[in-house]
Amino acid sequence: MAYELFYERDAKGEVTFLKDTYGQSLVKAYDEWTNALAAQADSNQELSGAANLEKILEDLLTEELPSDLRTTWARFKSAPLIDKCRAIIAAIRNRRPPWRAVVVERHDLPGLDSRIMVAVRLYLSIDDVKKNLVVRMAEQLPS
Amino acid sequence: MTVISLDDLQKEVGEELAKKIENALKGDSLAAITAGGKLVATLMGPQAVRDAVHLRVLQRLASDPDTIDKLKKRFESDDLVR
Repeated sequence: MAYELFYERDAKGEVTFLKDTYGQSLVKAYDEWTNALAAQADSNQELSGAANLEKILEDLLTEELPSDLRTTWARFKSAPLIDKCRAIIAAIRNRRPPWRAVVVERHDLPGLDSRIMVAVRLYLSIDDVKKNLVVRMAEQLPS
Repeated sequence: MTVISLDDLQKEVGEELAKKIENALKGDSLAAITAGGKLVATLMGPQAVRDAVHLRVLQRLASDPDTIDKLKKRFESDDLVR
């Protein structure tokens, strides 16, 4: 049985906006995608192609960055920002086990009756005890 | 990015090529398609996709700290809807 799918309230608004903007073709493909993610989460495997958000945040904190990103990051880096990064890592770790925080992308969601392709990134949390998958943030990517 | 569906490949050019591609990507690797000695396409397996997403998100967060702020609030929130 697939995990139950929930949305953080603001993330729900972001997904609704995308669905309203790109119409029924995107609604169908998006729903199939998230249902497949919920089914994969239930098998307790890593989601296909999903990046580990905790590891990404750790890379930021330890500056394990590609050289071209180090300058960019150095420009923005500040104590409050570092604290926020640590706070997200803590939020993820404090709920573990059974929490996982991952990022997934799709670049081929058909929009406007399949006339264009829409790229979407989802930030997700997966709770293996409550058996749910929560979309925490959705953003459209340039395609 | 253009995405080619393996299901479509199976329908359009047959099971054998699709199987060959699937096998080439086993072990989460990258695979290249060549023709006449030239590189035609590079295919990414799940690990390569994961690495690419990792790098893109890293780039996004490093260049847009507002997103970190937003993510913090979202991951701490218990205001969930269906």
